[in-house]
Amino acid sequence: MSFLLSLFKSRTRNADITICGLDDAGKTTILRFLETGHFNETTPTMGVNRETLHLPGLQINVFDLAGQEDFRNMWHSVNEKSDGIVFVVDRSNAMRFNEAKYVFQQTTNAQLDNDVIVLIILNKSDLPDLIDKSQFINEFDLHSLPFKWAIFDTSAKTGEGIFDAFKWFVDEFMR
Amino acid sequence: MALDTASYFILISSGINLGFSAVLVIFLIFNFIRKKTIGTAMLLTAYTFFSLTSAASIIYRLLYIAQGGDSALIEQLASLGPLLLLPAFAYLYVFACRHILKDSEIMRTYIFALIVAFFGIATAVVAYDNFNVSDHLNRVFTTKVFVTNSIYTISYIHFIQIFQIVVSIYVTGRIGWRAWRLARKSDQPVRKRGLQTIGIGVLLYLLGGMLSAFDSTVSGIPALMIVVAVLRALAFAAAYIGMYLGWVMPNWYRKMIRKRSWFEIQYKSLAKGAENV
Repeated sequence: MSFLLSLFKSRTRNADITICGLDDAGKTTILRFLETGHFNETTPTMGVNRETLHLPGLQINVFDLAGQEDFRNMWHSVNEKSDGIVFVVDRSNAMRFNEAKYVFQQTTNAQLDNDVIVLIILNKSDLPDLIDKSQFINEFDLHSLPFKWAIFDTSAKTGEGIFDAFKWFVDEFMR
Repeated sequence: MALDTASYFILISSGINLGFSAVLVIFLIFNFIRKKTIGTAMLLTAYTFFSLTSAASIIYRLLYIAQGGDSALIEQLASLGPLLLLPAFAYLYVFACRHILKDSEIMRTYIFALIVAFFGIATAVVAYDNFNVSDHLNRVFTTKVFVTNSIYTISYIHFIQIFQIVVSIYVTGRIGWRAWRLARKSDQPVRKRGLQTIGIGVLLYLLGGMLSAFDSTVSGIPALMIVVAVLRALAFAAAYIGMYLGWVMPNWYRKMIRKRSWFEIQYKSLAKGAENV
């Protein structure tokens, strides 16, 4: 009977993930890099960009959310249904560090289930005057997060770290 | 109405046609249950009418074989069946107005109302005539046209057929033209291919229509009738499938169109490498 049921059961799992973070953090550029393998100039996202990644046994629906303040109030409706979130921070912009921290805490405290996987991306690592990673972990209080999480340095311009970051994310879903 | 060898081939090809359109109707029902959108309901309604048209053409032929002759019911089905194409095109037009055509609300309402009103009147007239006339050549609403020394008999059926042809060319032609134009402008591969598929579907439908017209001119040659009937059925079936794929864009079709992303290629090659080790 279980054999018969397995014939009708889809072998491909579905996972919905959202990419969020402040505006100009590089969310869409990362998404385009995943798609094309090189840097692409992008325009500010108005609403949501959607992309699907087809991997062996897993289909990932990626929702790239607009980061402007006006759009942030719609995040929760997408995040609540997500199996994982990617939070992108512009590592070179110390001026908006506190704003990023506030938005991250708002997102993780109110919008996510405990079994959600969280990937934090410190983007624009190719630029000078970067925020220190350990400082970031402490300030964002990542160790107290109830989720499975990881943090990666990336650059959507050079592609550095992007594959490793998303590979970790996908491997977590595959487990 | 006589049933000969060619008719059996026509019966089989109509069966192929019905089979394809019925399967697409079932897919659209599932699609509607999943999405519950007005657009899907419209497309489902249009395809249901297309299927009913094919079903009517099979049923009356089968009834003819079973009964061994003509009857009022067979006459009704034979003449009312093709009329069902009118609501099919009416719904297809309204559906296309949601995505492809840019007609105003007023224009849309007028065209839909005109087609549906004509369908209602034509159905009533045909049904009335079928029940009241035993002699098919002497129908109630027949008009006689005098041209020099000859008398041509023009039945209202001819007007209905002309209207049907005009409606089908108007709706499919506009959808096809607009779909090709939008496809040329689009830079998104999935959308572009979807619109192109609709365009191809429409072209195949027009080809099927042309073969239908050709069908009546070769009615005396059974071998040619068979070829035309099979080609016509295949053209219509391919058209229904093309338009369905272009509009619904099932996941497997999207997957086929879109190129694999950089991440997918990297991840799969890594997974393959790990397997080899």
